[in-house]
Amino acid sequence: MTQASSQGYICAFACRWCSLLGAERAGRDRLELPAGIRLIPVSCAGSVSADHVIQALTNGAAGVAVLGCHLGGCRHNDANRDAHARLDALGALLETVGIDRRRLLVSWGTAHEAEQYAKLMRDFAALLGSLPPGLEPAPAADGTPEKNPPAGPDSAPEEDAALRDQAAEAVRDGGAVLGLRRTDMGVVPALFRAEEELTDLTAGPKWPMAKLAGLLLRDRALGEVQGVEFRALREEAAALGDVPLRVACRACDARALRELVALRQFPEETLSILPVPCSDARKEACDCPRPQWPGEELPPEPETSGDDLAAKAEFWREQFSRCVQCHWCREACPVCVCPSCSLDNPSLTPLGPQGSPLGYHLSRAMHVADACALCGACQDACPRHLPLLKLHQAAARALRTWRYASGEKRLSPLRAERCIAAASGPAVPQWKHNLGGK
Amino acid sequence: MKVCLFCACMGTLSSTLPEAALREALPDVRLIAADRLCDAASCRKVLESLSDPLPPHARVVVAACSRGARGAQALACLKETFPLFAVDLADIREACAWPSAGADQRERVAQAAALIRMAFARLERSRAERVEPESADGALVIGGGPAGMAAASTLAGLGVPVTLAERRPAPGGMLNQLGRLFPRMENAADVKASLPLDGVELLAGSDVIAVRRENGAWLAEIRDAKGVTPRRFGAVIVAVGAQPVLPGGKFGSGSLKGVISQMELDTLLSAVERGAKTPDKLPSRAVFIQCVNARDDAAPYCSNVCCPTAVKNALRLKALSPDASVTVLNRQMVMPGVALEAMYRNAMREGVRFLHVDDMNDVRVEGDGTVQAVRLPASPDGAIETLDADCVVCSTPLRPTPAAARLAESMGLRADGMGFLLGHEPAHPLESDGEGTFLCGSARWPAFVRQAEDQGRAAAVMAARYLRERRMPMDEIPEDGPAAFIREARCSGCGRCVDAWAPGACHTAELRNSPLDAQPRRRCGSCAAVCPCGAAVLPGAPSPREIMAALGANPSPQRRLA
Repeated sequence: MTQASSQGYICAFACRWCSLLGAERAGRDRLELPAGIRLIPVSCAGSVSADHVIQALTNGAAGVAVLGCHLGGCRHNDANRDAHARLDALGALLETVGIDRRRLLVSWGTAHEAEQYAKLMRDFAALLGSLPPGLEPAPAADGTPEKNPPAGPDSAPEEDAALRDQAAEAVRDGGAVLGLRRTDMGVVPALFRAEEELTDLTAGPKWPMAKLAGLLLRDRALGEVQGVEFRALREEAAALGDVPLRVACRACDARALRELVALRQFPEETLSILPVPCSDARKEACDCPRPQWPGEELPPEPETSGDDLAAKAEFWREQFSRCVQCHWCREACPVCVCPSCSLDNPSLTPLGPQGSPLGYHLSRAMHVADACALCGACQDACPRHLPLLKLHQAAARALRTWRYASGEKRLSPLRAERCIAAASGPAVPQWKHNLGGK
Repeated sequence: MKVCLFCACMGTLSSTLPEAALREALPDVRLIAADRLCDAASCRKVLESLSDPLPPHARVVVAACSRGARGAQALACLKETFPLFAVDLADIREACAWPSAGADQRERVAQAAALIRMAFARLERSRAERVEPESADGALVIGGGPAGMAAASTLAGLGVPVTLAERRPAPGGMLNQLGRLFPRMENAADVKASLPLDGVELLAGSDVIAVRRENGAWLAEIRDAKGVTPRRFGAVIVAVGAQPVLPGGKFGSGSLKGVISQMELDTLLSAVERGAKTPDKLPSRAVFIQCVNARDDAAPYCSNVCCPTAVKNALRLKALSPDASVTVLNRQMVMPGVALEAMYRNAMREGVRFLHVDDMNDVRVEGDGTVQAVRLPASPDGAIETLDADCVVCSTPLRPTPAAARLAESMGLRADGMGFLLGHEPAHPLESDGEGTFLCGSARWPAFVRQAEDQGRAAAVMAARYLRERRMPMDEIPEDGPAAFIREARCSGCGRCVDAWAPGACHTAELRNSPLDAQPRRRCGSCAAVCPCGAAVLPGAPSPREIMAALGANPSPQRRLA
């Protein structure tokens, strides 16, 4: 049998309580298996993160198998269900960039099921052999950043007037408003305390207010200013003390701020929003995927167009070949709150000419998948205008299967699927996994 | 220095994975081939026969069979010589040589080499995951009955600092009240003496009011005559036992002379056995009534200790006064196990009469001031039997103590409908939901004295191991019991780990680093899998380097900080 050479490696993460024993038994029973299998013992399928799978698939593995205990038989309070939810969302994301999601196999088995394991792995290897070659890693780009596109239409005078009226009310009550100030140099973020200052307040063009507001509110919760971004404005805000602060922002920023509450960055009661409605021209300029405010009913997700993986793969290969790996997308993201990022591990995202940016972008999309407000700050910050919002939209679409949407008060299926009604999730594959199906 | 001990498995492995080919595939690894490594003796022989002994800082991978076959033995032997974090196992038999026997040899060797490199990558990782040891707090055993004494005694024997809190002035619990123990009729005093409390800090007359989780440890409020003292402990063993239900006026108890409880009979028998009382104080016509206040609406469970106790006391009575008649009215004798079954049959041989009664409420105890007779319910043919009696003994069940409910509330333990504390049934019955909390004895469920002792010993071993794991640097944690930890410098306090850990915490937890160990243990690694900062770490979870090794890369040694 010479399957390994034609089909590449299979990384098989096997739970040491059940599946690993089944795999070992298959060896003991001398059941023939492809030599490309690399068995990786894990303490539970729940410890396999999307990062592991992405790393393997973007570094040359033909397929990844995540093998856990039977559902209901997990030794760790159904953590295998969580793994399943995470990896299901990841499958949708892989599909988006043109990697066949069948390259990721999630299945459940136990110690005595050696025959089943062997059949599963043989079928998996055969399937991988029949798939067209996967996404070739895009070479890393170098060169100068492209010029940023204009920020889109500015706000109409009547929009600004409506906003000023609302802000005046907040200021009269003794509060402060965080908004945009129109200056000769364009718009800049500012704090408004007095009614007469409000003449400069504007809804402005699109501006990543959530990032700044998130930092201000976090400073309030911590009682100190940490970090250097927007330092002067944040110190000014800290001097306000406990004065109520209202944030003038758009629906996408509001969602991001709600997610920051869910990520425990500041308490919910400190968050107060002065809504800035988006004009039709604004929505069109943003190509806004989700203009709804938190709490408003979402429209049904449009059907994803086309299954042509090769075309998607080519599209993203072309796009990612322009990525300069500056990681500005991460810095601009309002819900990327980590002081350090696990993607800074050089094994995960090798930099330089050898490094492929695909793994980084996929992993980042998975990291923020349930918190992403679809605000597009990442793509606005990208010097190469990569259509990153499309990636995040794909992940958000996958989570809609669990009736989850960011900004709404729902438990994320990526963190604790097991406690979400099983009925609302997709059908869970049992150990006789249907390799042909999607 | 990378060293690979290659087990030829008496030719099984070397025939499909030639040593020379492996050597070629692993040029930077010192490969030492041995005929077999499946037991400690052969392992030692290989290590001793080396002309160039391995340096103490070597990283050693045993390339042999799976852990479940003999790999674990080889590892155990190597761990005697090398630090735990320096040894790992690569299963190249069940995961490579056997299933890939039909594959091309080049590919098979590449697979084996990758598996060996993955093991080296795991060793790199465990070094990187070393953290500062936590403060070593001792263990608190609550309750000085047989379970608690056995637990404390075992912990002290294992060298763990242990404190035993007992509510009464002296430890012993049921051992102080019972004379002899079934089924072997040992003297309870002898059993108590077999549980020495040397090295145990004994807090007699101290009540544990509440135990709360605080800052990674258990904070116990202990009240004694002088007042309330807070103390910190790493692990807690709950052995508060159970208490007998009183007959409570049933069958004339309290009003008729001669109606006593099984416990009172036990005391009387002990006094006669000691010679403190004469045998003529013993009843001559005793009727035992089983299931008094048990298996009814108030206590809908079988307490499983009362039947053996009744048979034990019937046998003791027969031994002391052979002419006495003993009748045991029962709904069904519950005598589980070979030894108790033998005791039951022995009692029948000795002339103890066992009568089945469907409903004990139909039994009438008659007498005027003193017990004279017991009238049984009518049999199906209408006949009514009346037993002559000068003593009626009520067998009552055990019920949870108020201390159990109090501790369950403050420690967040689960209890069943009756109030007995629940562990992780059925696989880990002595481990409770709380971090580092263990249950034993009748606090869990009515237990025989010997059972309670055994449970106490088992809980002690688990607690000792738990404390040891906490105290050890992470890379010395046994592989089957890794616990996750948080690198605080990298933590954003987002709480994804807590959501993955305890779902109810979503949207409610406090701002900064929620203490992971306050949540029920899962040890699944979900926290690490959902952490985008790389702050939550589960030692033993797959690392990027291991995956790169699986994909054929030869990762360079990790850069280490000085």
